[in-house]
Amino acid sequence: MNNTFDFSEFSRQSSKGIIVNYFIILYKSLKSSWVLIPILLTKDKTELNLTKILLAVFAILIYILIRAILIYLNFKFKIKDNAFILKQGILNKSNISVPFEKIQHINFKQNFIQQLIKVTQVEIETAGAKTVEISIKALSRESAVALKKALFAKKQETVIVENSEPKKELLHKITFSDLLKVSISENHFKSLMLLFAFIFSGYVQVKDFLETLELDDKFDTLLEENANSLIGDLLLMIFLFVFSFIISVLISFVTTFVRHFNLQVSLENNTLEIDQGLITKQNNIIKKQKVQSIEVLTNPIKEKLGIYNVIFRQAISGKINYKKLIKVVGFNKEHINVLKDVFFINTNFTNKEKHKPDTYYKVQLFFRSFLFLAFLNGVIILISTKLFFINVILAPLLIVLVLLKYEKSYYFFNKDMLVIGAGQIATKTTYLEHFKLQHIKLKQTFFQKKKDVVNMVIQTASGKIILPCVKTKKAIEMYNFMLYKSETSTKKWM
Amino acid sequence: MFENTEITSQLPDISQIEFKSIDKKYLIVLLFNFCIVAIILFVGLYFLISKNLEAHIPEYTSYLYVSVTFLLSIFLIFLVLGFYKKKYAVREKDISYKKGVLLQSITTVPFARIQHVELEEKPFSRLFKLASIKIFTAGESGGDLKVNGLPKQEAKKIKEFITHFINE
Repeated sequence: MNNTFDFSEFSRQSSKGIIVNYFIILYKSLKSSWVLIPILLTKDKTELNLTKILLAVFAILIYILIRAILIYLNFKFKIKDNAFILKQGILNKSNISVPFEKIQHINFKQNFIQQLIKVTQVEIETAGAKTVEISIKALSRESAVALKKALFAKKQETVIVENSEPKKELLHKITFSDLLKVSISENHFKSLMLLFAFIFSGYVQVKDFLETLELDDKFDTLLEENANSLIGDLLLMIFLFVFSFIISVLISFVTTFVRHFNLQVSLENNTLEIDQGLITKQNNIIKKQKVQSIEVLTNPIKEKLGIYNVIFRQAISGKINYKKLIKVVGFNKEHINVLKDVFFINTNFTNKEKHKPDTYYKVQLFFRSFLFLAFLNGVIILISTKLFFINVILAPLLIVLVLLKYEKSYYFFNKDMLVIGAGQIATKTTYLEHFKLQHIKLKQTFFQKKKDVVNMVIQTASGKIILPCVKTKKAIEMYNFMLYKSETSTKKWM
Repeated sequence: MFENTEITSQLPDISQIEFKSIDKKYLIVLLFNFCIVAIILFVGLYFLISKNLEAHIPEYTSYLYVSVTFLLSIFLIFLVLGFYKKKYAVREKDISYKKGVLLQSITTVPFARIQHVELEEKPFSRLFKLASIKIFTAGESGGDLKVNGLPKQEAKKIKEFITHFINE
């Protein structure tokens, strides 16, 4: 290997890339076929003999190896005329060229295998009308850094002039106890949903396998024994409830630790650098200019503990990919204030005047919950009328949720930005600078027209932001002002 | 010191600008498309009834025709009403589009945020020398703003105007 890192000629990634490719393909094929394994195991074993199975497995592994090598051999990249050029593809050859100014950001990533063999994955993300995403699976740390420098070389000329003494300061480093606090205060219902989604996705294929175990019969007898006693039913329900709660808390812990372990945020000029991850280490660099909007999330428990999660929304193309949102957990109030100072210099947040949506919003929300309840009752009639008692719990709950939602929604508008509060039990605050808007829309239903209110929909490069039920006059004022701001702004939105 | 006086009252007002209607000939295109859909539906219904349903529920077949006609006529009313609500306006720095009968909306896209512009000519529209303009901004995919039924000359002019603005 050469140590000068000359990128002007086509070069391949580190030869360790074969190993990385190998495991990626293996992982993908296992992921798409894992449900077949238990079915295969329970099939009649007399038909298949061991040598045949081993031969098949061996053939598949060899095929994967050949594929990994071919992918490696056909993956070449270079830098020419201020553009990154990539050739790849075994049969479908593609030749991609990305000009430097189109590069959004460059991320380093290391999964478990990559950590073991000491290579870094470099991801180059672009934004524009057409998305190109480039992922170089295996580069040595030094060449990865060199590549990043080379790609940013042209851009930095303009940046460096502004600030000649870059100083990197650590803003936030998560401790073990902080991480514990974050996990315990997560929304455990979400984890439970995740669990259900995971179970149901595999359920259909695994059903046959479960039937062979005759679990159903055992479960039925267990149920029959308790069927006549109400206390038994109640105990079973409590048991299921507690059990699934414990499971979801565990899931919350695991997902939080895997994603945010060793989280570290540092600030340099107008750039945030974020490192996090347990199994897959992730390094993100967020430039102030690239951030479209910021969301600060908290909930009652988190608020008590003084914990805030922050999501940085960057420009995306195509559908929103939730993996791409950069989420930072466990900030405290001071960190948030520092972030506000860095990102929104001109805004004074101390005396912000909150505006509430029109009370018609409440009517709308009540009407929607009513429709939901009516639909649910329709379904209940089809199943069993005994389930009607659920209304006694659900109706007051929905009313409380609607009232909470109205209570929490507000907006704050000044000459530079818009702050929007939303949420029911959790609280979400979105910060958006006016000139980041892509297009803007006023929407009004027949009923809203009678009440003289409109919904304002602000489209940014990172998704929609909706302001519900604002008085028409006020909305038009904001509409005009935000357009004026984005049409006269000289700042780059990306 | 940086100064910024309030100018809210003097801002160009979206509710004051004059919107242009789209070309009347586009209504013919819309009606033509509607007729095709209606004919396909009725032919399909006719075959469905004569081949299959006639034998099972002969007494209800006429109701089927009536209900399909009823639905189509409601659709037709909204199509015509909706046509007269579709309006656009091009200002020096942005383009706006209004539409909707029961759910009204108005959208404005600043030229400074437009990624690219497309001129689209569908077969029927071409007969009447009409074209659509499709405007794309960053973010979610798909046309962000589409104005149908513009005279081709007008559409070309708008496209050139925007392209010129973007490339400046």
